Amino acid sequence: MLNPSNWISVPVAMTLIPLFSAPIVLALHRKPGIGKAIPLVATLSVALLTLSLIPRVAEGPVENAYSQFMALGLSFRVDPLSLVFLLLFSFLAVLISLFSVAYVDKEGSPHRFLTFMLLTFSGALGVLVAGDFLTLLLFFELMTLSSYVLVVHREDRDALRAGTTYLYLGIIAGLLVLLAIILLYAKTGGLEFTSALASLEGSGYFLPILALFTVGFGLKAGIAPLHVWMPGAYSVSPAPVNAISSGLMIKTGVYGMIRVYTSVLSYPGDGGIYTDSILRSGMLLIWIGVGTMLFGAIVALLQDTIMRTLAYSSVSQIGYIVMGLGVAVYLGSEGAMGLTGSLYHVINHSFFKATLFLTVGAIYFATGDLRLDRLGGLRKSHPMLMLIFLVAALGIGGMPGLNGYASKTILHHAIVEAYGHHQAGYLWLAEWLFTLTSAITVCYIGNLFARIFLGQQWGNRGKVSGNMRILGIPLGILAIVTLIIGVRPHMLLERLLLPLLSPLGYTAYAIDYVAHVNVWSVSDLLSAGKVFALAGIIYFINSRVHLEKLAFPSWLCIDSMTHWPAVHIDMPPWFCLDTITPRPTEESNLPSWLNVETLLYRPIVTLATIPILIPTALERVMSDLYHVIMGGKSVSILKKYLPERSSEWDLQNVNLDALIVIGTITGLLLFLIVYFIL
Amino acid sequence: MLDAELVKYLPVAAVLLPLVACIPLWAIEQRSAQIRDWFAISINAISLGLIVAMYPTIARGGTIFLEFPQLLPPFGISFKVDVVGFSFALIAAFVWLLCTIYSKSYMEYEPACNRYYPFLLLCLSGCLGVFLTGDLFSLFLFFELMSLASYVLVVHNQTKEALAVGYRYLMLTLVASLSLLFAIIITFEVTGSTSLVSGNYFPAASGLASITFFAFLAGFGMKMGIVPFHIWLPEAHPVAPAGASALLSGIMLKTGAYGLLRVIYQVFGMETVSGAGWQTMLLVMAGITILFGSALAIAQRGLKKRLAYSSIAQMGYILMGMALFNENGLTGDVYHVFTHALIKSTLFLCAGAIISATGKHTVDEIKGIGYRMPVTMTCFTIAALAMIGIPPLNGFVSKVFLSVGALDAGQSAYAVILVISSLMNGIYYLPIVISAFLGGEGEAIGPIKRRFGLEMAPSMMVPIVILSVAIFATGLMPEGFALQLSKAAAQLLLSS
Repeated sequence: MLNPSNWISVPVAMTLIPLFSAPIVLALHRKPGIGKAIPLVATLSVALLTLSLIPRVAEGPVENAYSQFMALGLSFRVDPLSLVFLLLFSFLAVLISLFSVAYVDKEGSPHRFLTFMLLTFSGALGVLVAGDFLTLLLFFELMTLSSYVLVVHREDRDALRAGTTYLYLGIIAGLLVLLAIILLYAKTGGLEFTSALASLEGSGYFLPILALFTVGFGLKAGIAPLHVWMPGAYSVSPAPVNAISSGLMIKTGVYGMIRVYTSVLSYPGDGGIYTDSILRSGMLLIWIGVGTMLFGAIVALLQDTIMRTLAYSSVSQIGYIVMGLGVAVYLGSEGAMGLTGSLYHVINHSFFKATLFLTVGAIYFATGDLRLDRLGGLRKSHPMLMLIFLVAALGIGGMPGLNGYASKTILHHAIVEAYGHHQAGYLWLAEWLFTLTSAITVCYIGNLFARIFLGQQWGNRGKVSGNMRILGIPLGILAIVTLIIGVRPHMLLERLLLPLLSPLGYTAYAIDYVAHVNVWSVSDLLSAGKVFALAGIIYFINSRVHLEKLAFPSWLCIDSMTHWPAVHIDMPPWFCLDTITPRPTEESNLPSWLNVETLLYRPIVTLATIPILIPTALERVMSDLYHVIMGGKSVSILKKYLPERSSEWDLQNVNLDALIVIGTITGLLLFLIVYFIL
Repeated sequence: MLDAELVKYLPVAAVLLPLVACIPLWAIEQRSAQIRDWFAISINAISLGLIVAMYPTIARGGTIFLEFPQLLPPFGISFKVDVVGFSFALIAAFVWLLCTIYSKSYMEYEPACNRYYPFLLLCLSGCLGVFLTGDLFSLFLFFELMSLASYVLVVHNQTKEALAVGYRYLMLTLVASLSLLFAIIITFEVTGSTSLVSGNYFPAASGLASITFFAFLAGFGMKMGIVPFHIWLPEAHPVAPAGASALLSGIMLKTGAYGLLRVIYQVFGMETVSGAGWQTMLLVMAGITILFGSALAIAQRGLKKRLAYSSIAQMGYILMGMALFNENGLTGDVYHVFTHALIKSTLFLCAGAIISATGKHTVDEIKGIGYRMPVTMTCFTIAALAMIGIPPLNGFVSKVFLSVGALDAGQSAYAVILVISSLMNGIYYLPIVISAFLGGEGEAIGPIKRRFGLEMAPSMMVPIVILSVAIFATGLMPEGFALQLSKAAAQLLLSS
């Protein structure tokens, strides 16, 4: 047990290096130079360690365990699946640190930012190197809590408000995963990433575990309708945080889901890898994915700010990834294509979305403004930024020759294959919606590009400063990588993704089929052409209608409906919905009947006050009862219940954010019920 | 290695030392406040040392037994230490020592300290006595000592509010004691003995047995703060001085839990309790207590009042754990006693430090306090996260064991209640933490009293820091100590 070589291994070091360098950064806040070098050194060394793992993982998983910690023991394990994510995360971590070090002075409190950035990295890397679900949860929570500080970095009212939603939903996600883990532990007595299907099958624990893991990780990944934290959090936090969030954090949710579906809920090796009930949930996942991607894309088109557009774009892209995973699950041992497409899109989305967010950050750094009506015409003052943004935008749009094309093509193959296998479940419609979503994606990102870089320049722009050049380095690297993946799409596929398929139990035929995908085939290029043609039409319509400027009459607004009685009728204060229903403070031009937050969560929040109302009232009665018995104050107490009502109801002081959260739980429970019905 | 004969007298010494030391303390405090503080601390430390000295015997699986049948006939006084009592006594003496050290600076500017310290020692004696005695009657004796002595701690400030609250506390304590005495007399009548050694006096549920059980439940439940017996708790805990509130919430509530553990497992036995349907009733009470306490904690504005309601919810966890009747649940239960003692005393001591430095009592008034009192708020944050059950802090471990126990017992609804309650913990603790560190540097608070250039006196800071380190250590490496004891205690209770 005390063998030193057994104590520190590469996977452990990868998460401990950022963890322990974080307090050093904080301690060095008086020496800005060294303090800022530490994140770079830490992330670079993590990246080097990741590279050193490649040959070792090829021979077999790298693992070690510490049974003496946390009662159930912690363990670490790197296998090909986690290696793919590790390479992605550690590479992005280096670039984002470099960007942040140059950028962060613009936002204030640089050392707090860098400290919590390192902690977030540590958490995200820890999720990947974890060898069991307990260790995974440990780092998942670390990531959630420390990234909260990043999200509210600006500390203003809107940031704190959005941060509250972010934090509580993050905690709910953690608790749901915890509950799933406890169920798993109670049933099987172990938490390793090994198949538990044999003991779970047919027991009452099977569906709850499946649902809790999916919803818990789905909250982090931002699947609609669990994405409610994303638009708010993205529009208030600094650009590098959004890059971390899109590039790393929501991907840990995806990683968790893939991990659950490929290990605990599968039989690796012989025969079918899933049972029938999981195959059915694959169909559900496909439709959740399709719904998420379409919803995200349409709403992104309706947004009038950069950050909210990109936030909904992330929701939409997660939809693609979940759809791919759904196909993989739906087709069972034939589903190699879906998983490959999903993983490939994870990588590509991280690259182009990080590029987009960091470019937007650089624009903010240069101009100090992100309002779309104040931007415009930046092509003259910042041509390089325009070029990089264009590369990433075309990447997300799926232009052949850039990275998004390859993964979207594989995902398209996957959905067609799913339809071809079973001819069931209206999957042809899914394929059709896939094309439509891709077209809308091109449209909103093109719209964004046009409004930032084309058109008239607004006011004078300053000179490019020294820090701007440092900011350019990671952006340039990201753009080049996007290009390389785009030009040589098969390289990544063969080197990284194909080797991890066969241990997962996919048939040789299915893997072979993936290996022989040629994304440059005429039909695939044609379908890309179809997407762009459709995008042109939508763009044309949009340029006439201006969806993002649409304003809807107020009587259509859910707010005015639910608040009408409160405003127009003289209600007793404790009944006034106005005091217990939180109002939206962020500006969103989204019509509120389309706003999932309002539509789904507001009524629930209102209902959720009841659990607080009842105990408060009961406590009052009990306390009074005591006085009646002990104190002989019955008359004065009875008076209190007569017409003139005491106005000091505790309820009015209830923390409104708290209510949001309780509402959300109820929402999740409803979601679970819907899940079971399906 | 201590001589076996000597070991027999350790429990008596640990219990009686604080009791007897009150007399020299009274003499000393007439002369010097400084020596009084140190004397009280050293008595505490010796008591803790005496309890630690029992560890080798307990670790070997032995029990320590000593009786004085000639005292107070017909019951007699006896001391019996097994791993259950030892665990409770150990954490009690440990937290007591830290709280006494904390009180040294906290009480510096408070009036009537000469009354505070002797009663703190009397309370310690009563509390340790409850945990280390071997029969119900001796337990009752020390229970009374503790309850009455703690009344003086509750009303320490002597404000009108404190006296009113104290009256309520005293009345309800009397009700609890009377019902307890009633139950003990019936037990004695039926079986001719109240010793906890033999156990299982009521093989089947009769009418008399149910009356006895409910009388026990009312007596110990009142002390524990189970809904609907909690009515005194949220009033009494906040008005006491911080060191005493930490002990009231962190330790003295556990005497009720300890009593109920003994009653359920050794006086009645699991078969009787589950056969009569009391297990279901206890579980439902626990569920209500958890949700009720948490919901009301959300609605509170006062810092200490919020902590007090949170204690009610946590006592619900402990009641739930003991009603699950399986090893995981009981292990989690005893472990949660450690967990809650450490966490809640940290929170109360931090709250006391904030209140004494700023004079602000409500949650809204202390926005930005993290910039003035970083150490305090860091410890508060650790404790709050532990309460929510964030790994690797100790609250997580107890939550896992309790939930697994609930599932083992086939009561999966209670695992869900635990998760919901964790979230509610987050809802009432995290806003305090967030507003302390984010959203302004607390201009409204004004300058705080600094001592020795620190945010608080070192003798206040050291206990808080030790407690937070313990929260972290017992969570990350529970196997070493607390969890081992909990497991042994669970096995012992289940086998009896």
